[in-house]
Amino acid sequence: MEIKVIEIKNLVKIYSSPFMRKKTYGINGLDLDVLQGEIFGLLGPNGAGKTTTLKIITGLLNPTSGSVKLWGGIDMIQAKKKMGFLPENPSFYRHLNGLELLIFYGRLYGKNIGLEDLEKTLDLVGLKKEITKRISNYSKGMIQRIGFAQALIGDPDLLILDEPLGGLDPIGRKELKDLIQKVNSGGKTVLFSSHILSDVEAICNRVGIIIEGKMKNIGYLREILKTDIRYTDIEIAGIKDKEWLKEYGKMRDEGDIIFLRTLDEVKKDRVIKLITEKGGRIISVAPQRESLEEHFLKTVHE
Amino acid sequence: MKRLIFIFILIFFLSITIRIGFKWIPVREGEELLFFPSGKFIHAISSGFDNLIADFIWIEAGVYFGEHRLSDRKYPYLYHIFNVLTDLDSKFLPAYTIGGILLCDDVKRVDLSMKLLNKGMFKNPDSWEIPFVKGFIHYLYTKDYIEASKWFLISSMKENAPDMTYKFATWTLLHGQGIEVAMNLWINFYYISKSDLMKEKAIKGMAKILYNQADRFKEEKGYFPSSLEEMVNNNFLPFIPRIDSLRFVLREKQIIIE
Amino acid sequence: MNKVLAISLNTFKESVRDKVLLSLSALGLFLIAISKIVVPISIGQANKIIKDLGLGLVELFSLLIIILIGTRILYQEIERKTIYSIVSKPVKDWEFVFGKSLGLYILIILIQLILFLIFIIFNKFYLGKIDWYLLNALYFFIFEFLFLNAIAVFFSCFTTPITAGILTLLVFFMGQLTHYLKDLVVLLKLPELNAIANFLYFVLPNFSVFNVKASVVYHIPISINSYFLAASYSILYSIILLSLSSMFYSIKEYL
Repeated sequence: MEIKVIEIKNLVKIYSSPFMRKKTYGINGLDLDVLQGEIFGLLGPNGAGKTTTLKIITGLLNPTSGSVKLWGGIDMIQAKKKMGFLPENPSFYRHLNGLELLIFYGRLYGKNIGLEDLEKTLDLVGLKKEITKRISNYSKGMIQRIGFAQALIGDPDLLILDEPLGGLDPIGRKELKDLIQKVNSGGKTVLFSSHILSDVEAICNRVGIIIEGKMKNIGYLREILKTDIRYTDIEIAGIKDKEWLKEYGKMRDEGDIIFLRTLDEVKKDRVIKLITEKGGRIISVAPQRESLEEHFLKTVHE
Repeated sequence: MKRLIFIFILIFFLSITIRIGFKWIPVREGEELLFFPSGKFIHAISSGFDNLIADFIWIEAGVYFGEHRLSDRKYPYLYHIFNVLTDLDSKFLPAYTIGGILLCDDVKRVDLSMKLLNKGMFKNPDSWEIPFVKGFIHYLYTKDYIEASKWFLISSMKENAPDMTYKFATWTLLHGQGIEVAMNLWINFYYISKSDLMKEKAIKGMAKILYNQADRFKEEKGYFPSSLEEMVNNNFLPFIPRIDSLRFVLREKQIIIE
Repeated sequence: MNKVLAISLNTFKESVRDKVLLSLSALGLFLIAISKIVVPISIGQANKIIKDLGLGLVELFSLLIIILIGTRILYQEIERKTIYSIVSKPVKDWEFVFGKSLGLYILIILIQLILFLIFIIFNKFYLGKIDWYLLNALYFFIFEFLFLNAIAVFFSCFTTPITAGILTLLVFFMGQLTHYLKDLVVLLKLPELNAIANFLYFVLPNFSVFNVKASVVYHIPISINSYFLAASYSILYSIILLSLSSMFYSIKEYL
């Protein structure tokens, strides 16, 4: 029986300016379930309602209507004790250093967290060496890391991350992605929003696509994306006579290496066999399914 | 930090500019203090800083008095200033006592002086100083010795009143217009005053008595006395006064203080 | 309580670095130190004037700090978005509001103590002796500024810092005159206004309760009742205001 950590039904959030009659629907009837132990990715174009949804879950915004239940409907303060939040473009007290910041947030969880545990957390996010550096001297990447650390500090069961990889360089992104997977493997549920589809694709179990305040598509990645193989890219070497390969698909000759794209599974198996018989070498075989990006763009334009 | 220092320097120069610059604008009679509102009004807006504002007005009173003393010797608004001051800080005794003396001695308005002192007595019923000054003024200015004696007596009955208040009450009653009483009044006045202004008045008051007695000597004897000792020997003075380390000397028909 | 203290300590540390606060404190210190300049123009009243000046400066600068900083401490959290990481934690609204207020209040008391200490020391230099009776004023200041701090925080909940500052200043001024309200009704001979005047008299903050500067300078005894009244009035009213502020924060949204 899968436990629902977050259960949202028919969520509506209306922004209305007091002077103008105009109403803006930030969220317009959203349903979302996040299951215990999974990594859930929330996708959507700018202004779709991702941040609004996350802020409602964390109590920064109040829903206009609909229901938001955490762990079956526990009290918000109790829920916050089990939750860690990393806001988008986070901002922290500039006069503190990393350690002082974590001590402060730790106390807000009602816990006096030991120095050892704090240093462990700082080490986990790669900031152990900067322990005495003031936040005012932190780079963007360091801010994201300390942000992640303060979300972890209460040892929460649920991590909510709003664009956690934003502004990081490729190394930073990789490290943070690994971190997310690491904490998830330790039993934590992760809900995060991102624009970077490849990152979502890489680590999420389930995704949800929000368009204009509504959940357009939600489910396991492998279910959302067509499981049929659309084409296979084969990298071939050691074939002198290449013309016959064109029969099996689109060929790109780069001298020593030939790239062949076959659309047919049957043709793929046959051409591999033939290449081997003719003395050629298969360097790689890469079946391509529909990418998340392609799926996402398709959903947006529907 | 640099900016702060720069601003301080600017404020310093601005204050000098105001002090010097505003003096060049000739003050038309009557314009002065035109916007000096009533005490009750200032009290309404001073919000708990009454005492401090009263202090500033006190300093302003000194400036006002000093400026006019050096120029036209007219003080049309002096009473108003002291009245406002005492509205803001009713416990400020020197405002009544010094104000009372100045209104009498310099402004020559005993009525205003009495008005101020009466206000002071109403607000400070336990003060010995205010009725003492009333007695002082009656003795030296209005020459109403019965009134003077009455107020000295009232002063002597207040808690913490010094012995001399009682002494003056009895002296006045017994001796009436006695030079000895008057001289002692000025001597005591000098010693109870804290400000240089009042001490100066005491010395001048004493000098005036000595000179008046010297004039009387001349009228009666036909010649001006050569020294204060001569006046004492001829019973025109009860004693040669000394105030602090200051000696009074009669030389070439002038009273000199050494 | 741990959370309130954590937030107050953090606010204290943050505010201590505030340039405006440091400048005001330095200025206050400077003016107290140079109060000697009034001696030659005080016409024999240096004693009184220096004391009035010192007390007035301590009160004035504390007031300025509250108006310039007390009105911003909550607003700053929202503006700098540091509040997101607080609201998403299990912190109750009242813990946040009380914590922020307390942090700044402790700092103000500390500044007052320092200014007062300097004031007393300079008294000794200029006037030859320490007038310990002046410390009574400090007691009343402590409660006066607990109250003012709560008022500033209250106004800052639903308006900008500048407006909150102006409102706080207005309340401070009007609070010196509330005891006139009743007299006004009698003076105007309008008994119908009695109920309104009474209501206003009780609701509007009455700051004359804390104004003992004259008594302290003139060594007029202050009744024990006054001490109790100042403390209880200030504490009760402040708790009410901060609780109302917490209520504002409970319905506030963070876009």
